[in-house]
Amino acid sequence: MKILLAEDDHNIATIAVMALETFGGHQVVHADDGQKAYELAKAQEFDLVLLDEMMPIMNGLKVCKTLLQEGFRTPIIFLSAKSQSTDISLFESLGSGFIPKPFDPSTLCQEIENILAEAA
Amino acid sequence: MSIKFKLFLVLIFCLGSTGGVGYLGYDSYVNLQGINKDLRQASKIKGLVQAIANSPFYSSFDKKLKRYVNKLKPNYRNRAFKKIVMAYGERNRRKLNNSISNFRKQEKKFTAYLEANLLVYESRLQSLALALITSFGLSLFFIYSMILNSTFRPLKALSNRMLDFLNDRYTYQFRVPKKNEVGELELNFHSLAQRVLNNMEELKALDSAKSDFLNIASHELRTPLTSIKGSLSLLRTGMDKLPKEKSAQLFSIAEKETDRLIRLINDLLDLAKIEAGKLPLEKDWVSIDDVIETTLYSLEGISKTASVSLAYTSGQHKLVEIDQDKVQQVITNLVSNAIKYSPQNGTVTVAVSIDSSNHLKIEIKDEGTGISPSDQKLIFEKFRQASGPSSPIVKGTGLGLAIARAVIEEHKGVIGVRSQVGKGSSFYFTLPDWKQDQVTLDFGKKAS
Repeated sequence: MKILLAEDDHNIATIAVMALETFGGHQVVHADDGQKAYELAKAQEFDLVLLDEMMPIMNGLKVCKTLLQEGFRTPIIFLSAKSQSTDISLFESLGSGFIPKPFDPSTLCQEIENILAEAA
Repeated sequence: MSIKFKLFLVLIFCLGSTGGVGYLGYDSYVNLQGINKDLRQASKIKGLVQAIANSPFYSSFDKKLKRYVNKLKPNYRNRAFKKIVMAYGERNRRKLNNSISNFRKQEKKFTAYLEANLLVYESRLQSLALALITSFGLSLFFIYSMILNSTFRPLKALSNRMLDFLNDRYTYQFRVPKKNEVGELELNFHSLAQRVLNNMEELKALDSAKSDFLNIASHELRTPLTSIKGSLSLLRTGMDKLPKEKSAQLFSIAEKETDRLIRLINDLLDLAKIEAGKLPLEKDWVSIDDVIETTLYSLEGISKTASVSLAYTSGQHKLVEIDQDKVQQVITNLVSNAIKYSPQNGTVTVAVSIDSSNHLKIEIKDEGTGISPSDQKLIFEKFRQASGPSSPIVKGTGLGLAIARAVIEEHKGVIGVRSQVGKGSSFYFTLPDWKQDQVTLDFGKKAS
């Protein structure tokens, strides 16, 4: 899959990219803030968008809402350290699903597949 | 008008009308008694005249009559009676008969007059009795109405409002209360209720702030853990697949993020201790030169890496009463921020001066990008950072300035920033407890 990863922390991004490319054989494009993520999502075709919640300029929820308003059809999965039930229900209602941080990179790809399978 | 005053007026009215009625009534009663006495006298005199008319002359009787007549009031009836007694004394039967018939005329008039007066006073007494009953009735009515309207009803209404308040129904229309005792009670209740509501709002805000803090703290703690767990997991599972540079990168990430987590936890604990008041200051008189120079020396490493120079003009000869460790922590924090946000080959300057309140002021100036007014308010809050360099050498915890503020405020000083976007920033803090170091000053003078 061609995946757009929106994540402002570079270390986490490195790990996620390594997990997705090495273990999943996916192609990953990385954006380190909400604005760049939004622009890339509109400019290129992706099979999946992995969205961190807390990002500078535009946060994940805002990016998601804006894209959905504009008819974005690609599945969006939230990746976040936020743990409040109100946030989680937002993630699950707006996106296809939610993966909490810390995540296990060795199982990341499987978790993504599970979420996409359920959403389909 | 206060209820007390109104009741007082009713009392005065009641007493006054009772007094008035009482006085008039007594007056009428006395008059009535007088008239009855007159009527009895009239009857007696009538009897005497009858006796005189029917009997022969007795000298002893004559004497008695004369004595009696002299005691009588000089009214027209009594004068007529006196004439009878005189005629009797003169033994003049003809005169006697004349005076008797004259007397009888006068006596009729007189009695009629007395009886008319009797009626007047009797009816007056009746009116007064009515007036007394009416005024009593009115007084009781006023008192009842006051108790009901000024006291009972407002108190009941107030009681209902209190009940509403107790049952968490806080919205009620506040009517302007009357200016009396109950109104005062209403005002006081309203003030009390307002204070309770304000306290509740404050508590809610505090509670909300605490929740926010917990949320942010948990997020901040989970982020480095994600990198640590992630890199270790990748290293374990990808042992064969990963090329050497990637493995090295992952080890480096794990180590750096562990350090970051350590810094974060230390900062969080420091902040928690300060806010719980459990971080007592160990104050000592130290030389400000020493403090600043020691701090700058420890930061030489990172300043060289960032190609930023540090400047401080020593020779202050001033002593400050501070907790040296904590104040050094503050200076370290401010200077490392300045280095972080400085351009390459820039300079960070530390300066000491005395401000207008005679407090020692330490300023840290940088030539960085400056801070916008809205960010200036934010940055001293927990976990807040201004939008800064995207890959700083050492990622901050967002707590440094919050801790700095707590430490300086514990020292009874103030901390702040002056900055304009594009024109660098000047962070400052003040220390009130300072004195000139006479010894080194004198020594310095002697030496030169």
